[in-house]
Parts: sequence; structure tokens; C-alpha cells
Amino acid sequence: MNHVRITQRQLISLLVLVRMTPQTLNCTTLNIVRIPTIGLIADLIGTALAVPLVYLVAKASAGRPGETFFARTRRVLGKPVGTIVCVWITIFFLLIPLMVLGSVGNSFSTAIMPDTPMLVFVVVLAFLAANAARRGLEVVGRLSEVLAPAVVTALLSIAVFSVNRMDFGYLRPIFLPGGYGDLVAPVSSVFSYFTMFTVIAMLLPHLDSPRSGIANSLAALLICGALIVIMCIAMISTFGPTTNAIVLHAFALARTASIGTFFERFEVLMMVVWTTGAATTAAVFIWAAAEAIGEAFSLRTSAAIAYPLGWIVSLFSLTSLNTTFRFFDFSTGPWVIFSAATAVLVTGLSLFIAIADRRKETNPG
Amino acid sequence: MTRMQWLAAFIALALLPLVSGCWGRQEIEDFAFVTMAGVDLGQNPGEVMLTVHIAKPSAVAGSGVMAEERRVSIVSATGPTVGAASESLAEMLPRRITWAHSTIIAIGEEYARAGIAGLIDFLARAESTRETAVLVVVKDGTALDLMSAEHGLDEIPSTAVLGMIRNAAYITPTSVISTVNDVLKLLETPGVDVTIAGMQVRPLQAVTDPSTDTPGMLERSARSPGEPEESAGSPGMFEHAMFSPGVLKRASLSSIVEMSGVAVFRGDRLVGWLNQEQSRGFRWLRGDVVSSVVVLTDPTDSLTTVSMRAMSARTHVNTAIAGGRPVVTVQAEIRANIGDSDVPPDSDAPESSRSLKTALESVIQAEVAAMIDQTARELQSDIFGFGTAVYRASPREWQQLEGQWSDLLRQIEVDIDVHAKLPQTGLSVWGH
Repeated sequence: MNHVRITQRQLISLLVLVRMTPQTLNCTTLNIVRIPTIGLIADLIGTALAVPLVYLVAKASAGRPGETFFARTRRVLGKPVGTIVCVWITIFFLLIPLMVLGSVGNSFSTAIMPDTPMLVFVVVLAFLAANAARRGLEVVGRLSEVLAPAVVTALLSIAVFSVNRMDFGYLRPIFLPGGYGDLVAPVSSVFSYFTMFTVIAMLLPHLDSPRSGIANSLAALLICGALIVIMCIAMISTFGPTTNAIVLHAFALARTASIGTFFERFEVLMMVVWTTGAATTAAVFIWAAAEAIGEAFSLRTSAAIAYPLGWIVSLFSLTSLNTTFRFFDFSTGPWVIFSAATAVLVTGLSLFIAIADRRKETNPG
Repeated sequence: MTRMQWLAAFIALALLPLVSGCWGRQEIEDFAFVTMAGVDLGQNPGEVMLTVHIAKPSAVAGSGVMAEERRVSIVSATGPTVGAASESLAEMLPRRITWAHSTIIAIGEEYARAGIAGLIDFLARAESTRETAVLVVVKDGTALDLMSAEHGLDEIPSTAVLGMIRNAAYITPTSVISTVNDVLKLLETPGVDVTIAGMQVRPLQAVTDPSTDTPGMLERSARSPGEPEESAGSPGMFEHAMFSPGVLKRASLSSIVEMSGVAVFRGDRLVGWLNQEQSRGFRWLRGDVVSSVVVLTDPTDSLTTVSMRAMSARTHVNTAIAGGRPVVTVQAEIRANIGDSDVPPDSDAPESSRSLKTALESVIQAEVAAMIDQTARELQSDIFGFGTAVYRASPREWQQLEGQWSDLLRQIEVDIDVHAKLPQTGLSVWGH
């Protein structure tokens, strides 16, 4: 493993961008609820459920600076099992940029530039992401350090400047017409978004102060949770009962935002958020997938795989959008199960490896 | 140069054509900007007529005195749906229509009575429309009437109409501002009905153009030499698509546009109107009055008229179900100043102040009661959202009541308690 380093701020920025980007596209959790406030409750519960996941993965990863999750897996479980785990998680890592790039391309084509084929957005963003991933985690980290504050400011601006369109009465009633069963699907959906945080198993070994990884990861999680709740409140208050019928919620919210009656067109900010967020998210996961493949096949250098991975991602984004794209959606059953299983696998293995290492350290013989 | 450098140079040259411009570029001069749109029923059953104002950039950019040339072009097209009619407009225009600057959507009364769901759906789905556009219903007329009318002060009709609605909503306040998003929300919210600002076009004089029966049509000034006068505004004008005659030049003002209360809907259909007093009653109930002049007859002297300027209104509405029918308790607090008076009242005299407050409270109470009578009992429309209050307070109870809510509205029991405060006398203490 090459010893590139990212700072704590870069780690937080990366994680915030990774989590918030899909939230600004199809906020599918709000589409699958009968009453919009159930989406808000699900956001709160889903974020809370993600805390132990992030804590455990961060705790296990922060203890072994310089060694990625895959290297540890292969060392402890042996090469065959370690390789299978690597392949599984590589698929997971590649599906995320596939979904995000496909969604961004589709969103641009649907909402802003209907004449331009989706291909243009997907290919350009995939190339940008692969290029950043090829140049290493430091480049992606520096990029996100600049972009994340801009994205957070843009999202907060959109929420704040929509306030004159909001009716907070729409946050009521808070009730579950079908009982607690109503919460299962939306909470699973929110949690499935947070499984993207498993990438910290790859990032923390590169952190300049690995011990601070737990606090930084949890800080990123809480920032994301707060932003998601704020955006969700803004959306429900603005769109009321039509919230679950809207696609591209954040974009629709941006279209209603204005400063007085003289400054409108906040949707331009969404174009910035989508472009930068999708490129950074794809770069992080393409980098992580390249690292994983490098570990699985014991390659001397994994950076060169970034470009082929970028092309694969863009190809599948384009070809699977209208056919199997629904599978690759954060709210659909198969994805929820797959991502949850991956989260459990990463968490379980991280803990197992940490315990095994500790035993070995206390019992060297 | 090495072979790789040659290859790189070749690839760079080959990619050059791709960087000559955006793929889906859209030049501003290719667009026809819709500033206002209107929807009416077409002449044939099931047909919708869509009329749009297209901004004429050269005319809009003109400066100085009121220009002779109209700032907008009026184009109409028909189709089975609003979307289809919008597509038909493309056949009439050399430019591509964009709705992004459309601030007013006018609805003819007949179309509103038939249901506005199709229009709202079109506005919510299309990518270039804006959900912040304000809706207006044309009372006793068509959207085309409103869009053909000239405005004395403002040359761009959408700006004039928007200004009038804002004034009526904030100053009088005898109207409401309902955006596409507002209506969309209300249509989907249980227990509340839609209200939209009403406008009316009244002819000031006989039709200016003898060739057409449509009031407000202006004289066609760009007629080709030898072209028969009858061609303008011929009976075929409502066919597939058309330009309204006389769109090139402004002519004498032939009609007056004025606010006309509030259009009341049940579901997506217009069912009736609130007059201006009832409209203000609705605003008192909503508690969003920021300014309003209430004219009173001085209780101590029936020959004296006093106008009170309400500065703010705060309302607390409590809705409950008692004995199987809705019981509404309204508590309103109004702050008002003395506006003007034939004989200035002595505001320091307790009995004078008390009698003015009582008179003001009675007027407001009467306006609110008249509004509830008209909407809930006559039209069976819940424009305030008493049903929503029940739904939010006890959603399970609402599930049982929802089906019979419009019947329950007839039996609504309302207890209105208005409390007025007269803190100031304006900028004058004359009369003390």
C-alpha cells in the first residue's frame, strides 16, 4: 500500500460529499412513504442506526494504520476467503458510482438539459472521477476539502431561502397509518444510504492521525444526519402531501427558493452540487475499488485500474438505466439487502480481525 | 517526436471538433419567452384552448414613453390537453417556447368549473414551468379576455396583473396569492379546498374592431394592402391554432381589469365566489392581514363615517368534533389605527374608543361569519382547512369523517370572538 495521507478535514469532507450527493438526487426515501413525516422519522432512526455501524468500522480500522481492510482480511482469513470478500466489496463499491453517475446523468437530462444525451454527463463525470482516482486519494481529498463546504452552503441556502414557501403545519400529523410496519422500508432505505460509510474501512488507514478516525467519522455522520433532517423538513414543509410524488426533491426545492422577489433560479446551485458531488463520490469509490482489486490480485500498483473501472461504471450506468436501474436504487429491496449484508460483513470482519490481532499481540506464541 | 507523442497529438486533434460548443446549447434568441398563459375550454367538447403572451424582446427593450407597439404577442392554440395545446403553439412560432418566465396563469371561469387538475398537472410536470407562477381565475369571462385587455399603467400585462393581485392580497386585502405549488399542495391535502384570486374584465366601450365580437381585441394595424378586413377575427379563429388579431399595436383602452374577490373550489372544480367582504373575512380568519381599511359608522353618531386601518391580525382557530359535527372557535386579535373620519373622534374618550372597537369587532365578526356561511354552508367548500385541523389533531378520527365532511360542513357551528385594540390615531391627534 502506498502511504498517501489525508487530513481529518479531508476525511470529513469526503464522507459528507459521498453521503449528501445521492440525497440531492432522487431522495427515494420520501417517495416510498405514505405520509411525508414518516420520511422524516425514518431519517432520524436511520441516522441513529448508522452510528454503531460507523463506530465499529472506524474503531476496527483506526487500530491498524497503514493496512487497509482488504489487506487485513487476506492476512487473517487467508488468500482465498480474503479474495472472495474483496470481490464482494469491490462490487459494492462499484455499484455506488454506477448509481450516482446514472442518477446525475438522468437528472441533468430530465430537469435541465433535455436535448443533451445522458451519455455526455455520465462519460464526462466518469472520466473526471477516474482521473482523480488515478492520481490518488490525496487529490480526491483536496478536491473534496474545497467542494464540501460549498455543497453544504448551497444546500443550506436552498433550504433557508425556501422558508417563505414553507408551512410547518405539514409536519403534522405524525402517525403511522399501518402501524410500525410503515417504518421498515423507509428506515431500511435511509440505512442503505449510510452503508456508503463502510468506505471508511479503506480511508482510515490513510488518515494522518488514524486514532482520530472514529471521532471524525462520527462527526461526518452527524453533519450528514443534521443536513438530511434540515432538507427533509424544508421539503415536507414546502411540498406538503405532494412530497412523495416529486422526483428530484432538492432540485424542486431549489426551484421554489428565492430572495425576495428579485433573486431566483437557485437550481443553478443544484447543477454545481450534482457535478461536484457525483464526481467526488465516484472518485472515492473508484479509488477504493481499484485498491481492493489491487489487494485481491496482489497487484504492484492499483492506480492504473482506475480508468478501466471508470469506463465500466459509465458503461453500466448507461446501459442499465432503463432496464435494471431500478435494482440499482437505494430504496429497492435487492439493494437494501445487498448493502445491509455488506455493512454487516464489513463490520463483522473488522471486529473479528481486530479481536484476532489483539489475541495475537497478547499471545504471540 | 516519439511514437507516443505523435499518437497523443493525433488524439488531441481528433477531439478538437468535440470542443466547439455545448451539445444541447440553447441560444437566447431561439426562445419565445412566455410571460403569461391562459387556459379556456375550446369550442369543441373536450378541447382546451391555451393562450400565451410571448415577450417581444425588441419591444420590451424599448425605452421612453409608452410605446405604440405591444410588448407581447398573443398566440392561442387548442388541443385535447394543455400539454397538447402547448405543442400546437410550436407550429405557430418560429421560436421554441419556454415557460420559465411565466409569472401568471389565467384560468377562464368555464374551464375552472370543469376542473383544473389537468392544468396543474401540466405545470407541475413540465421542466421549464415554475411552481411559483401565480394563478388567477377570470370571473364571468375567459382567460383570453384578460390576456387581450390593455393596462393603462403597465405595458407588460403579466406585470400589471401580478401587481394588482399583490395589492389586493397585501393592501386591501380582498384577495389571495395562490401559486401553482400552493394549489398542488391544497389539492393533495385532506380537509382543505383551493382558493384562487379572481379577476374580471369589463368593457369600457363598444368593441373597437368591428370585424370581431371579442371585447378588448385591438385594431389590427399590420394588414397587408388589399387584404379584406373580414379576415381578421374570422369565425375560424378558434380553430387549431391562431394569433389573436391586432396584436401588433396598442390601441385605445377598451376594457378595465379589476380584482373580483376569490374563486372558491371544491376539489379541483370552481364552485363559487367570495365577494370582497367575504374575501376579507377569509383573510381575517387566516390571520395574515397586514393592512386593511374597515369603514365604520360611528355608533354614537350615525352620520359620521370613520375608517379604521387594521395594522395586524392574529387568529387562533380551534376545530373540534362535538355531537358529530364540527365546532369551530375563532379567537382573533386585531390592532387598528384611526384612518380618517368625517368628524374626528375623540380617541381619548373611553366611551368613544370603546364604541369604535365594538363597531370594528362587529364588522370583522360579520365578515368572517359571512365567509363561513358562503363557503361551508352554501358551497360546501372547506377553504380554511377546518378538516385539515381535525386531520392533524386526530388523523384516525379524520379517516372516519373524511367521506362525509362536505355534509358536515353544512352543520358547522362557529363561535367567533374578535378583540380589537386601537393603539394609535395615525399621524394626527386632531379632534382631541
